[in-house]
Amino acid sequence: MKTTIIRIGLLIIVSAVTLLTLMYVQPFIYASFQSEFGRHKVINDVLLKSKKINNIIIFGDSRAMFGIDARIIKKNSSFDGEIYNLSSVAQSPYEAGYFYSKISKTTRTVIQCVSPAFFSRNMKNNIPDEKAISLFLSGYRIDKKNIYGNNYCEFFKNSDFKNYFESRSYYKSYFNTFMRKFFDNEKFNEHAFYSHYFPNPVTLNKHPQYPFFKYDCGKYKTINYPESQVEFIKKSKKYFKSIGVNYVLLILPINPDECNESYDTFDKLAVKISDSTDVKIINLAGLLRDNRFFYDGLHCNKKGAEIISQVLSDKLE
Amino acid sequence: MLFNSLSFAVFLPIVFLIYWFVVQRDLKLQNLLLLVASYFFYACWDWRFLFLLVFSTLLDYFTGIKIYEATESKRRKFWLWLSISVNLGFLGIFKYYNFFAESFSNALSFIGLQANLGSLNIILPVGISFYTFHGLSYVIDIYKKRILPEYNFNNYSVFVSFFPLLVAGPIERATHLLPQISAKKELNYNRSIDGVFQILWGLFKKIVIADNAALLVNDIFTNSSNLSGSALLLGAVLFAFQIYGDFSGYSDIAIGVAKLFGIELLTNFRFPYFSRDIAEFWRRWHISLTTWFRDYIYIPLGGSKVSLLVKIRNTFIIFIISGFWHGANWTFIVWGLLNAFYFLPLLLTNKNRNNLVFGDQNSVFEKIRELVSILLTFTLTTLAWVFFRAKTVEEAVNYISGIFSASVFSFPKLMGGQNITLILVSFMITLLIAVEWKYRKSEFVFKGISNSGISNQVFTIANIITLIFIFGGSQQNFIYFQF
Repeated sequence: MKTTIIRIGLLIIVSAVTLLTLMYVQPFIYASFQSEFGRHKVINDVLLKSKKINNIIIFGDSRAMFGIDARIIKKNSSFDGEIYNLSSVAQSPYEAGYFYSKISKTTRTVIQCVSPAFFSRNMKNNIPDEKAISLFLSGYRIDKKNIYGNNYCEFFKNSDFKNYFESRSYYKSYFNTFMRKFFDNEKFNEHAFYSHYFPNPVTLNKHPQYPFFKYDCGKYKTINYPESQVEFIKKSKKYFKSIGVNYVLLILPINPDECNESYDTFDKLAVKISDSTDVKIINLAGLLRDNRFFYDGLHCNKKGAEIISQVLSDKLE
Repeated sequence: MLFNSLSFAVFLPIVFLIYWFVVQRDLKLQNLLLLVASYFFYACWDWRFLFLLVFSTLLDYFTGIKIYEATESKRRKFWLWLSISVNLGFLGIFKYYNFFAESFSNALSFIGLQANLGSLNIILPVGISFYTFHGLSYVIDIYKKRILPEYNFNNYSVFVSFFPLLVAGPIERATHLLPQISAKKELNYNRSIDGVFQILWGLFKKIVIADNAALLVNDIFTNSSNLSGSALLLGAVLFAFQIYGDFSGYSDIAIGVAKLFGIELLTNFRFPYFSRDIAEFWRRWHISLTTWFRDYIYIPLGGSKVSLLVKIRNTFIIFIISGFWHGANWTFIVWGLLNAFYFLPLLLTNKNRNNLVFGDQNSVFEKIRELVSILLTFTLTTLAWVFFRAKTVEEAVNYISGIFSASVFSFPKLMGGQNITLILVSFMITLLIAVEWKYRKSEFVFKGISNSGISNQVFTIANIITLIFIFGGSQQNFIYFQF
C-alpha cells in the first residue's frame, strides 16, 4: 500500500511539474517567438521604457498604421519629444484603452484614431480572448484602479493561475506563424492577410490578390450616439486630465468612392461627440477626396499618408 | 462538468482522496460518497433533471424487487412492462416526441390531410439514453432470472448513476457492475496506473484529435456546397476521426476514472478503424451498446438460430434501432440502414464471424490483404458517417454526390488559414494510428505500462501532457452527450 501511494504520488508530481512548467514558461516563449498579436509586447516596451518628456503617442487601427507617418510629423514640427505610432491591425479604441494606464505623466499628447464605425452601435468595452491572452503573456497586467472600474475584459478578472492555463491556446499561434512561411502560394485569406498581402506603406501598387475593401457608409447615414463608447471617451478624458496629458480623437480620411454622401454625417457626429465629451476631435474624414490616395478602399497609400501627416503636424503645432 | 475541464480536474482528486484515505474502511460510506459525488456531477449539468434520474432509479429499484417477489407470471410481467413503458415513455417524450409529431404531420400532409400535433420546447436531459438502458437491463435480467435484485438502495443508485459512466456510458450491466459495487475494494497500483494512462490517452483523443478536427469538419460541412470533392472527402475522413476521438476518448476517460475507484467498466472501443470487415467493426465500436442490443433485442427475436429471412429482418431491426437510439432524425435511421446493407453480404455468405481476432500475418501478401480490407472497411464506415454528421438526409446525399465528382482528384482547397490546422491534425492522427496499431492486440492503449519501469511511465506521462497542453483544440462538448 505504501509503495503504491509513493509511486502514484510520484506520477502526480511529474504531471503537476510538467503542467506548471508548460504554463509558466509561456511569457518567455511569447517574448522569443513571433505570434499573432506580438505587437502587444512592442507597445508595452515603448510605454514602459520611453520616459522622455513631451512624447506624442498615437493609437489606432491599420488605417492609422499606414495613414500616419510619424517621421513626417517629427520633421515638420518643433517638438523635442518623440512621436510613437503604436497603431496596429484591428486595434480598436477599446483595445488601445488597455494601455492608457501605462502612459507616463510626462507624455504631451495621446492621439486616439477612431473610425465612424466605432460609433455604429452600442458595444461593451471588451476585447477577444486571444488579444487578452497576448496582453497577459506580454507581461501586461490591468490597472484596476484606472478608468475602467469593473468594466473590462472578463479574462483579466481571473486569477493569474487560471489565465496561464487558459493561455495554452497561444502555443498553436507560434506553430501557425512558423508554418505560414511555407504557404506563400496560399490564396488571399484572413490569416495570410497580415503577413503577405497587407498594404505596403512605401508602394503605390496593390498586390493583385489583395481585395478592395468597402467601407459600407450606408449604415452611417443617421448619427448614432452609443452610450458605452461615449462613456468610454469621457472616462478616458477624465483620466488623462488627471495626469496632465492631452487627449485628442482623430478621424482619418475616408474613401470618397464609398462615402461621398456621408461626410456631413461624419462632421455632425464629430461635433456632437466633441461637445458632449469635451474632447478635441481632429476630423480629417473628408481630407482626401480622391481614391488615388488609397491603396485599397480603406487604407491610405504613401501619398495619402504624407498629406495626412503634414496636416496633422500643423494641427498639433 | 466536462471531463476535459478544470473543474473536473479539481473534482476528481478530491473524491479520489476522500474515497481512499478518509472512508476507505467502510464500504457503505465509500458507496455513499460515490453516490453524492455522482449526483453533484450530474447536477452541475442541470440540477432539475436530477429528479428525473432519482425517479428512474426508484422506479427500477422497486419494480426489480416486485418482479423478483411476484409469484404469478402475470404479476411479474406487469411489473416488467410498467418499468419498460415508463422508462421508454420518458425517453420518448424527451427525445422522440417532436420527431414523431413532425413525421406524422408530414405523412398526413403527403396524403392531403392536415394535422398539427405541436412541438415540445424541451431540452434533452443529458445521459437519459444511457441510464435508461442501465435500468432496463437490470429489470429485464431480474425477469429473466439472470440476477437477483439489489436490496441495498445505495448500491443500486451507484450502479445507475456512477459518475464516470452517467452521461455517455459505457452502458453497464447489473451482472457486471453491481457485484463490484457491493465488494470491498483496495487501492491497486497496477489498476490505478492503467487508469491514469487511459484517462490521459482519452484526453489526447478528445482534446487534440477531436477538438482540432472539429474546427475543420465544421467549416467543411457548413460550406460543403462550395467545396471540391477532395475537400469533402477530407471532411468525411476527418469526421471519422473526430467522432472516434470524441467518443472513444470519453469512454477511455470514463473507464480510467472508474479504475481509480477500483471498478472495471465494460470495454467500449477496441480499435474499430483497424477492422477488416463491417461485422468486425461493430464488434469493436460502441461495444456496450452493440452487445446490449444483441442481448436484449436480437437474441429475443431469435438471433441467428432462425431462418435466413428472419435473420436478415432481425439484422435490419437492430441497425435501425441502433441508428434511432442515437437521435430523433432520419439521418440516424439512414445511417443505421446503410450499416445493415454493409452487413448483409457478410450475413448471406456466413462470413460475419470471420475476423474475430487480429492474426499474425507472416506473408507480405496476407499483410497487404489485411491492409486493403482495413482501408475498404474504413471507407465504407466513413461514407456512412456523413449521414451521422449531416443535418438532413438531403444534405448528406448532396455531400456524398460531391465526393463522387471529378473534383475528388483535385488538391483539396480549404477555407482561409485552415491548411495549417490540417497539417497539425494530420500529424496527430498519424501519431494516434501509430500508437493504437502498436497496442491493437491489447485491450487498450498503454495496457501493461504499470509493469514497466517508473522512468518509462514518467517519460510517457510528461509527453502526453505536453501534447495535450500545447496542441489541444478549443473546448467542445462531447458529441455523444446529445444522445
